Amino acid sequence: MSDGDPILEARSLAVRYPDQRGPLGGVRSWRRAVDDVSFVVPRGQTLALVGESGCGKSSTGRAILGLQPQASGELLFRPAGADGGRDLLKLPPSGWKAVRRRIALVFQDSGSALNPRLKVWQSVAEPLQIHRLASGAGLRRRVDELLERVGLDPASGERYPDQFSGGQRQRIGIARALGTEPELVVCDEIVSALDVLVQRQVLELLSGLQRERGLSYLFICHDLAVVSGFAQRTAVMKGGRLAEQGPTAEMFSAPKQEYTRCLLDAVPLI
Amino acid sequence: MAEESLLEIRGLELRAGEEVLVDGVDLDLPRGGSLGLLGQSGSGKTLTALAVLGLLPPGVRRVAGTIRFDGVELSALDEAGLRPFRGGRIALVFQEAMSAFNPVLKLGRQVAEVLELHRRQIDRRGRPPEVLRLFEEVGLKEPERVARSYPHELSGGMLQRCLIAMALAGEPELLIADEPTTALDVTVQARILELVAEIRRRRGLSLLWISHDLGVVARVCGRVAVMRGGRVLEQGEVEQVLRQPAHPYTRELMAAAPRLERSG
Repeated sequence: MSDGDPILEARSLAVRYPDQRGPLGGVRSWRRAVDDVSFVVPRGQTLALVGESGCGKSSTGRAILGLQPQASGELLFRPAGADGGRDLLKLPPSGWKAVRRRIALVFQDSGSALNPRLKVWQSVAEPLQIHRLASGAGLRRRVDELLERVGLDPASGERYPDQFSGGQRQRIGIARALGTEPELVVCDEIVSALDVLVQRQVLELLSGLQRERGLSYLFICHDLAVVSGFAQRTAVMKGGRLAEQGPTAEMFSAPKQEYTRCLLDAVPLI
Repeated sequence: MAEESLLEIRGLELRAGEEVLVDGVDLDLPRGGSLGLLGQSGSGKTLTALAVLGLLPPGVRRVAGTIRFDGVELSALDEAGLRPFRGGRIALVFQEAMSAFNPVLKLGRQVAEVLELHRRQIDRRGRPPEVLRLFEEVGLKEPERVARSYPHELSGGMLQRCLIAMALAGEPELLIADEPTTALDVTVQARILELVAEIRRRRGLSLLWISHDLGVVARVCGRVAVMRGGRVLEQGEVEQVLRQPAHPYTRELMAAAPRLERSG
C-alpha cells in the first residue's frame, strides 16, 4: 500500500444530536451536526478540517473515534496490511480495542487531560500498558524514547504535568498518542491555544513525524493560517456540511466558494 | 515634546520575590494613539498592563519605575485614589469574556452598575436607555434581548461585544485590551477588530492592545513594542518595525506570523 491511498474515507457521514425531548425522555426531534460529509485522508498526508465553532468539525473527529453513537453513513478505515476497509460505524464494541491502537487522538488542552497525580512518564506509559506493548524496564525505555522524540528530556518524565508549559504539555500529549504506533492521528485544535512561535515548533514536530513514520493526520483547526503550509489537503465545513475541499495551496489561491474566501480574508496577515 | 503622552511608563520593574518579571520598561502612548504590546506568554506584557491600574496579582510587586496617566502619577496612588481610573477613565477588556461577567446577573444590570459607579450624572431612570445605546454602539442587533440575557446565553463573539460595551460605559480615555480576540473564530475576530477601530475613531479613544499575534497588532495599532523576558526589545511605528525589524527576535516573530501560502 503506497502513500496517497486513502487510510480513511468518509462517505455521506452524518452525526445527529437529540434536539427536543418528549415528557418521558424520548427524542422528539434531532439536530444534524454533520450532514452528508464525504472526504478522504490520504495515507501519509494531512487533511485539514476547517471551519468556525459549531460547523461540525469536532463532531466529525469524534465519530472517527467511535465517540458519536448517532453517526450514520460510512467511515472506512484501512490500516496497513488489512484487506479492504473496515467501516468504523459498524464496528462491534469488541473490535474497537484493536482499532484504537491504530487511531490516536490529541486535543486542544492535552495538558488538562493528563492525570495531574501521575508523573508524566506514567501517563505516557498508560496506552502501552493497556495494549500490552511493553512492561518492566522495556516500558520505561520506550517511554524515554517517546519523550525524547517529541523534544523533551527523558528525565523530565519524573515531573508532574503542572510543571510544564502549554507547548510542552502538547508535546507530552503527542508522545502519549505515539506510543501504540498509530497510523492515523486525529488532532483537534491542538495548536490553537499556543503562542505563534510554540505553534510553529509543534507543527514542525508533527511534520517531522509524518515524514519519518508515514503518519496520516486529520487536523481539525479553525485557523486557516495554521493549516496553510502544513496540510496537503483542506476541507472547509459550514453548518455541518462541506463547503469546499481540495489541495490546500490551490484552494487558498483560488477559493471556489464565497465562504472560503470570507474565511481567508478574515486572517490577520502582516 | 511633539505629542503629549496620555500614558507614560518609565523604568518599570516588577518582581515576584527575587525573580525579575518586568525589567526597566519604558512606554509612551500619545493621546488618541494606539500601542500594541507584542510578546509570547511570560514576556511580561500582561503584567505591565495590569501594573497601570495597580492590579498586580498577589506576590508580584513594583520595585521601581513610575506610571503617569494624563499627568497623574498612578503609581503613587492608593486603592481609593485608583478607583476613578479603574473601569472609569481607563477600561480593561480581557480574553475570557465569560469570566469577566458575573454569571448570575443579567448583562444589562452589569453594564448599569458601571454607569452607577462612574457616570453619576445619569440618574436611575436614565441608565436602562444608556445601556441599550451602548449595546447598539458595539453592534449588538437586539439590545433589549441582550440586556435581559445571562452571560451563558450568548455566543463568545456577542459576549466580547458586551464586554466592550461595559468598558465603554465608564467613558474611558484609555482602553487596555488583553488578547480580547484570541479565543474567537477568525471571522468573529475580524469583526471585533473592525469594531474597535471604528470606536477608536468615533470616540478618539487611546488603545493599549496586548497580543502575541503580530497580524492582529498590525490591524489595530499604529505603534508596537516588542517584549521578551520582561524587556522591551524595540518599539516604533508598526509599518517601520515590519519593514525594518531592528531585533532578531522581531524577525523571528514575523517569520512565525500567520501567512497563507498559495500556489502559482
